[in-house]
Amino acid sequence: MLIYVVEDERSINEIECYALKSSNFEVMPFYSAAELKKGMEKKIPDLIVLDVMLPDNDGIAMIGHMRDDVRLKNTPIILVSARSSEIEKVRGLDAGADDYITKPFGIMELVSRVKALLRRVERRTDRTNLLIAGDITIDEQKREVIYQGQNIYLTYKEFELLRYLVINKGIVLSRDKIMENVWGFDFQGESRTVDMHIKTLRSKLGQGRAIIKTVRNVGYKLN
Amino acid sequence: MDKREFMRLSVHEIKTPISVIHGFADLISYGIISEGELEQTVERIKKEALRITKLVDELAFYIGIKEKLTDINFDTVDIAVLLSRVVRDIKENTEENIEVTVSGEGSIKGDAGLLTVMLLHIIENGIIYNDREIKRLICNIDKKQEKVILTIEDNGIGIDKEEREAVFRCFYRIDKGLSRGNGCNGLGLAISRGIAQIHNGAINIDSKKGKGTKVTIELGE
Repeated sequence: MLIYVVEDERSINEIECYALKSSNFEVMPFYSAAELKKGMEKKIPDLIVLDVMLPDNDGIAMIGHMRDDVRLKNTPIILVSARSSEIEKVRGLDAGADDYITKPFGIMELVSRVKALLRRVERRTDRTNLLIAGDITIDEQKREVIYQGQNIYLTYKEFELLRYLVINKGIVLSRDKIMENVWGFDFQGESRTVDMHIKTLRSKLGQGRAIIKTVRNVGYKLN
Repeated sequence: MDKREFMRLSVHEIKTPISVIHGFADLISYGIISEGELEQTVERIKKEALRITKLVDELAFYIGIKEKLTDINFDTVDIAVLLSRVVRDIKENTEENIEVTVSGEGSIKGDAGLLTVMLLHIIENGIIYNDREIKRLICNIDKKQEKVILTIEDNGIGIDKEEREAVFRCFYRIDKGLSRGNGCNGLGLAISRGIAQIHNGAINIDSKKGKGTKVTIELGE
């Protein structure tokens, strides 16, 4: 995980970098807004620890610009400031910061906040790759299917079939449509292939099998 | 600068060295600092503690002058004598290679203590913001009607035209790296201008980036 530390006071920058490195983060120090801008052009970090009062720009104004930039709008930012009033924190968070820490702060608190924010971001990213239907959860990134907390082991096509049904939850899907979308236009098999796969899928889902409904003379639907 | 902004900046400036002390103390207490770096880290903590002390003293001094809370004792002050004393003190307390010349003479009615503080700040700036091997300062005292005109010219890094007035603002520094390393907290010129005004005078700056700076101090009778 790469973290950019932006702080013009060299000693504080050094302390923040030291603490984060000791927690096995890769860290790059920056001492001004201009330096950070150059760094961002080369590489977008996983998280930025940003001082509010930089010599060449205001941290809060910088966040506004970053959030307008497609490449940076989701980069997690922790603002560090000597201003501890509620209104200052509100200003920083409203501008788009993900967290706010006031000086002087404990270094372990900084490290913990960095870790917590990265976990939140990770969960957010994970959630975006999850498909959920009733008790069935599909993790597209890990290609895993979880039913009531248990992993269900599916073949490649079974996985694709279930995924297609979940995406179209509540919609009646004809066998031909399923064939087209799961097996592709070029597949020369019969529509019985769909029925066979539905059968094994239901069997593997056990009690969860009821979620896949047969629609007579048409095809299938996920409830 | 209004009082609200002054307070905001003061809080920031005081909290910065406190954060450094807090941070280094944490690194030591959590065992993150290695044994070999321990002594050096403790020295840095002590240095930051001194920095806070100096900052708080200068802040109190600045507020005293600005709010007219400082006791002022006017007497006849020989500027050449005062200047030579300040130069001698600075030379005795620095390892820098400094050459200072003082010419001319003039006396005013003023507070010797305050004027000493002013001269210390101006001359120190000429040495700190100076990257030459030999740091040269040419001081000249002149009389113009009822006023004494003192010029102090250095061969330092100079100041951009746009920054010449800004340097008199509290906590403004032309080079943060140079100033922090030398214990400057950005109050020296604000204090100096306040002292000049108490003496019915003014301070102005003329400078060329990379060549040097000429400070002109006008002091009334």
